[in-house]
Amino acid sequence: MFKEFEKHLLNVQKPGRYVGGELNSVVKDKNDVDVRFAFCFPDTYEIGMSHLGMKILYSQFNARNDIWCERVFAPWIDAEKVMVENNIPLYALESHDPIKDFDFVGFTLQYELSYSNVLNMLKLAGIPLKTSDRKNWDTPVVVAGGPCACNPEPLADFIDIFFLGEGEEVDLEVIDLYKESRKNGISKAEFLKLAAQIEGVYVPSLYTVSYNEDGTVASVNAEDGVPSVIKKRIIKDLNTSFYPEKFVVPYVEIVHDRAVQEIFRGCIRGCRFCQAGYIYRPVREKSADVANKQANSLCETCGYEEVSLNSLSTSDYREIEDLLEQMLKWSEQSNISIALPSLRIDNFPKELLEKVQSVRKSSLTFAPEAGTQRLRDVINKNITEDEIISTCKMAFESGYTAVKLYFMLGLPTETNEDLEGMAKLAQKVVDLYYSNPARKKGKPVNVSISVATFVPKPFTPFEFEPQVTLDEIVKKQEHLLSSVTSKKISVSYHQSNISFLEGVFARGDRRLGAVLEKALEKGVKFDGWDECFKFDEWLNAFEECGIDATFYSSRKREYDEIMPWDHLDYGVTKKFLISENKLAHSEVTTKNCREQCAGCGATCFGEGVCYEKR
Amino acid sequence: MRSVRVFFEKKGDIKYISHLDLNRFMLKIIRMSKIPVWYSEGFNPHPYITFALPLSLGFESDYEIMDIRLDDDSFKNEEVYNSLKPLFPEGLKLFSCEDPVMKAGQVAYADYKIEFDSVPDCYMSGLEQLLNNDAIIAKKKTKKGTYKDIDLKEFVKSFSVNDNTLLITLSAGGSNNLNPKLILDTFSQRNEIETPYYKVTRTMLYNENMEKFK
Repeated sequence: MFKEFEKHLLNVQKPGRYVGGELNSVVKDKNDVDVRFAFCFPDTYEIGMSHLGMKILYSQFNARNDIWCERVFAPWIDAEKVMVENNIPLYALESHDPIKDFDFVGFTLQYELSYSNVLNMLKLAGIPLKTSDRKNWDTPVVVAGGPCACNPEPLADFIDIFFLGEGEEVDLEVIDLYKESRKNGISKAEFLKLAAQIEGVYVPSLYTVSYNEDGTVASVNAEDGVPSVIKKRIIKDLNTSFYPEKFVVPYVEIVHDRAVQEIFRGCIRGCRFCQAGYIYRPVREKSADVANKQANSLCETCGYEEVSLNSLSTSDYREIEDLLEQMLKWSEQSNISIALPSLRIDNFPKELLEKVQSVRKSSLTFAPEAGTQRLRDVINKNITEDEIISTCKMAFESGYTAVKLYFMLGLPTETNEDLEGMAKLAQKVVDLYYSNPARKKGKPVNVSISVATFVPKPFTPFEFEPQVTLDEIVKKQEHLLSSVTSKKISVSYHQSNISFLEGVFARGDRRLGAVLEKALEKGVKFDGWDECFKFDEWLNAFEECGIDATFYSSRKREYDEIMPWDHLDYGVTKKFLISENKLAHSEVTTKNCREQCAGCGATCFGEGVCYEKR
Repeated sequence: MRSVRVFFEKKGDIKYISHLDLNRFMLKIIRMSKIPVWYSEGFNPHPYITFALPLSLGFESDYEIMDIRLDDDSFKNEEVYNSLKPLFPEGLKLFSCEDPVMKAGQVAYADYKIEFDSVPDCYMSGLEQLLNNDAIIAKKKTKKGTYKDIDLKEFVKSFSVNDNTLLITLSAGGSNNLNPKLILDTFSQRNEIETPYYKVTRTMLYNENMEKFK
């Protein structure tokens, strides 16, 4: 089969993506293992190979002798065409075996726009799309996890098992149950019912959803003996949990080809638009000693020249200075640079900063998210204009000439004044640059405004909010553009149609399954890629299914509405989300977890920041 | 500071890894091996490596050569070999590490073995006929993206055809290089046929006196 594909490999772009065989990739004898797991990332090799979660689970599964976990990525359009034309089913990179013969096919759901690729990959694999067509053991168990599993309903028809929360423990528990179930000769249906008893496991086919006349959810009913509420899983102690000693080192250039060292999970900040800030609660840190040791091992075994610290907010890591001092001891002599994404440099020790190479190299980036302090209070983004200006001043004095500002457009309560605020802030930065008498003459400043369209997400205080309509987005973009008067300021924004579709699926329910299937028939895939996105086909699919997409995107939800994901428990309570929503509309901020507990509900996990000594 | 010449083969699936990607990968292996390489000075220090002759994507090779610049002259070739050997992945087999004899720029010819999967005899005889011409004028893409006429025959040092295999020695190197694919493409174009599936192995490199490149 692969031999057949090989004949065409030189006619596709970057064929190295389809052959495997990379350093540290794991090849086992299929006769020596009990469980074969196809770990599918529903996007290209370059994107999937940069993803930390996949690296962790791949190594962890393969550390067990009885499991062989292999990697699968979505073939790019040209390779897919060749595969379809020559009847080559989707295969796993390590063995080149078709994944339809595996025990498990698992997807990681990192963004809603990859849902069409999930379905397309099942199709390319020759696996029936629907759970209801995979009732016997002759088809793999199809599982999925990742952040989007917090509202998995649009994929409920297609996925047998969703893993809620962090996968390191629950995935293996399900694999063990599978082994036992196969040994005992029980049916797949019985296996799924047993799996549903495991905390963090959601088997959507065991739940029936009924709807009100107005289209909202009336109730979600679990089958007898199945938990009515499913709670997410967390790893309690990051110091003792599994972390890979080596990564698969790709030959072809990927998005982030570097060692990645996780330093903590969760975020203390509670920015009200940010899903990650809520669904990964509570904050749990890894000690500097452990992080340093792991980072060092990764660099030694993979030959990387850069190591990046991974978390939602580097500055909030309490041991950051200790960790950097430990890491610099070996990184400097090996010419390895340390990347510190999302570091706030305003009150960071200057000597340490200067030692960390990459901070000097990268351009200066801020994410004020909103143009005025009023709106920043609404979204609970605790960065002030003074902080931005004082940091820029520092940066300009040390020779920087470029500043990036990230904003969101279409936030709840946003007015034209807030849009103008973005332009004004950028202008202030420009003016600041020219007020510096020591600036390099003849070198103009470049301030770029990058605008993302706000998409309301489940498990955030804005889950009740309407998303701005397509027309409004365009108007707002135009208003922003007209507010920018300097040529030193550039503005870029995303395709609004893509944000619209993301909004629909983020808060969608099971009825969207039909739309996904219909759209797949029309050839949609790679929706996150501008060059592949077929908005018209999506609109046709919605229309043919008789579904109004704006019901999901631009409808305001009442506080007492049953959300399609309300039977999933991520610790954070709906009561808390409602109170945060009210505070947002009163423009009142909420303190971060370390300043004062806001009572979000994540204490129920018994770990992390909720129990730190203060 | 001195250079060590590393000899290896590139076989199997790794042929789908481009020259640039292989170059980046070698830098990683060298970092892992901890051999005392010389780092370039400047803002972004990196080890200094050179390949004798880049290999086209999809070609296998029996005889690949990479030079590494060492910082520590007392570090022996044997030590380089022992450090690199366990790190070379499947498909990249390390043969030896030696002192360079010739200068890297002195590559002038290369042997290629071109094996066809299954082709009719007339294909092979046609190819032989083409190569026996006094001149083979073909269009070659220039670096600017335009096409110019060149005589392929000027690049062909020698060749032989046996069964489904073409063995051919072509000019190679920085200034006067011919990719054997161009010969096959020209043959297909002239006869208005599709090029059958074939495998290319570069089997040897030579200097201008046809001495084995060492």
